[in-house]
This record gives sequence, C-alpha cells and structure tokens, in this order.
Amino acid sequence: MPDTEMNTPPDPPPGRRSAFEWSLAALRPADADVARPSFMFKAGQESRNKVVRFWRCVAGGLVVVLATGGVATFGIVQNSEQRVMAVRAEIQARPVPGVAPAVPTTPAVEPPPDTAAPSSVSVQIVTRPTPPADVTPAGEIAAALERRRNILVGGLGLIPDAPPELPKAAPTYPGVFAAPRVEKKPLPPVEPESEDRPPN
Amino acid sequence: MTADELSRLIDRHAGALVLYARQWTDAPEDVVQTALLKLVRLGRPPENPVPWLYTVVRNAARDAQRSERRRTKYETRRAEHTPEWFDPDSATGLDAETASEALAELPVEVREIVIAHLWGGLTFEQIAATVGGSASTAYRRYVAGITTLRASLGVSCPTLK
Repeated sequence: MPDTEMNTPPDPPPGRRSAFEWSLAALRPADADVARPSFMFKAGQESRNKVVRFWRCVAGGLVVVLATGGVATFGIVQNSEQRVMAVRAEIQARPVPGVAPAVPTTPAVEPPPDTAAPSSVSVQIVTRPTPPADVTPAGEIAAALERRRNILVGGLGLIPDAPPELPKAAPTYPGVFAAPRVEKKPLPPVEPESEDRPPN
Repeated sequence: MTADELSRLIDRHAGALVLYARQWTDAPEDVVQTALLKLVRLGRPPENPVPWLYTVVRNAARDAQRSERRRTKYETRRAEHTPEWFDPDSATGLDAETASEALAELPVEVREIVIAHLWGGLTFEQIAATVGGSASTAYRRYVAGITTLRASLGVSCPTLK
C-alpha cells in the first residue's frame, strides 16, 4: 500500500511546533538583495509589454482582416467588368441572275475599339439584308407564269384539282390525343426460301 | 498583478525565496527576480502564487546549478566563505551563523523541505507538489532534518509532538 495513504500526517498546526522549531523559524533570512526600484521598473515594463503585445495582436488581426477584405473586393470588382468584343462578319447573299442586289437600309453599328484584353467575348454577326425577291427560285416563278397563261388561254378546266381534304380532327378534350390512331397492318409472313424449289 | 500585490509578495517572501534558492546557486537573487518577473508576465496569475514561486525558483536554481561555469564559480565562492543565510540580529536563542552551518550540512533534499516549511510557510502537500513525491515523504524528511539540526546545535529535550 502506498505510504501516502497510510502515513500522510496532517500538517502540524503552528501551535504544535516545538520550541526548537520556533527558534529556528524566528531566524530571519538575510535580506534579499533585490534592487527594489529597478525591479519594479522591470516589472512595470513587463506589464506594459503585455498590454502592448495584446494591442499589437489586435491591430495585426485587424490589418489582416482589412487586407483580406480589400483583396476580395478588388477581385469581385475586377470580375464584374464584362467586356464585349464584337466580331463583325458579313455574309453576302448569293447573287441571283436578273435581280439587282439591294442596298442595306440600316448601317451596321460599329463597336468602339477596345484595346484591353477582353475577359469575355460575344460574337455579333452582322448580316446585310437581302430583298425578298431573291428568296423565290426563278424556276417556280416561271412555272407559275406558265400555268397562269395556260389557264387564261385554255379555260378554267386547266386549273389543277385541289389537294385531297384532310380528315377532320375529332373534338379533343383533356387527356385525349388529338392525332388519330393509326392501325398497324400486320406484315405478310415471309416464306422461307427452300433449296428444293426449282429456280424460275 | 498590481504593484502593491507585488510589493507585498516581495516583502513577505523574497527573503525566504532567496534562502531557498541559495541551496543550489550562488546567484539566488537573480533567480528570485526572474521568477517574480515570470509571475508578472503571466496573463492569469495562479490562485496561490507562493507555492508557484517556490516551484519556479527551485527549477530555475537547479538549472543555474547545472551550468558548469556557474557551478565552478559557486564552489569556489563557497570554499572562500559561506554567505550569511540569516540575519544575525534575529531575536532568537540560536546563533545565526551556527544555525546556517548546521543547515548547510543537511542533505539538500532534506534542507529544501525544512526551509520551505519553516521559512516559506508551505504545507507538506504544497512541498510535495513542488519537490515531487508524497506529503508523508516530505514530512518524514522534515522530521529527520529537525532531528539532525537539533543534534548539531546541541539542543536537547525533543518535544516534537
């Protein structure tokens, strides 16, 4: 068993000291050669340094926070500036024989010159407008003119029949498909070719 | 810690702390001043600063003793003369110089306990926490030290209760 449990005595109170112990305790230790003024000055310096260190830490933390915030703000502002670079591409309409190309009615807007490197690029394609007459092929026009001339000469019987009428759509209501149902016709069975069949 | 508290601490305990540090080093005042400055530097002072000071002084004095240069110097000085440990004008029936010599003959592990208890006012629990070991060991060493001192100083009639 450890002696701390068995033999730990209570501290003898001062009144129970022997006379010899009292005599010993009455001996005053020699004066400590502590230069009181200089020591107190050093202690004051230490105490002041402690306060200064605290405020230095606070100021340093604030500087770090402000610097981080400034850098973050600068980065956000830099990223928000969107620069647009316009690329001008002209698509010339194919010239149609017999039809003079039209002159564009509205001039293309020239983007301002940008010398800085763009952070994002948007492409603007400027197309010169072409007259609608160019869209119709010349062969169709010629066929329509021919058909009109024939009707005027030969009579109304030459008018082509109207296209077959489409089946009327059934009335629809929510939940029913409008398209008519298409019945699939079964495919005829394919007869396997037999080798015994005589060739035709 | 305020300046008044520090002054009170110096008035009451600096002498005993110097006597305690003298067991190991020949520059006990420096050790005690360093310990007091450490106490001032602490952001949160200990609840009971006196045992804390004894622990710091003990460690610092032992570190100083380990220094070869200081130890040589200390031994040389010690051979020349024993410094006064006690005020010779103390109002006691014991001679200060004789008591110092008797105390110096004690083994250091006994002497430090006697000094810490008699002049430092530390309890045996506090001494045990400072020097290591148990309170009962500290008490046994203290009793042995007192017995040895009594024999050295020629004081009879042991009445330790």
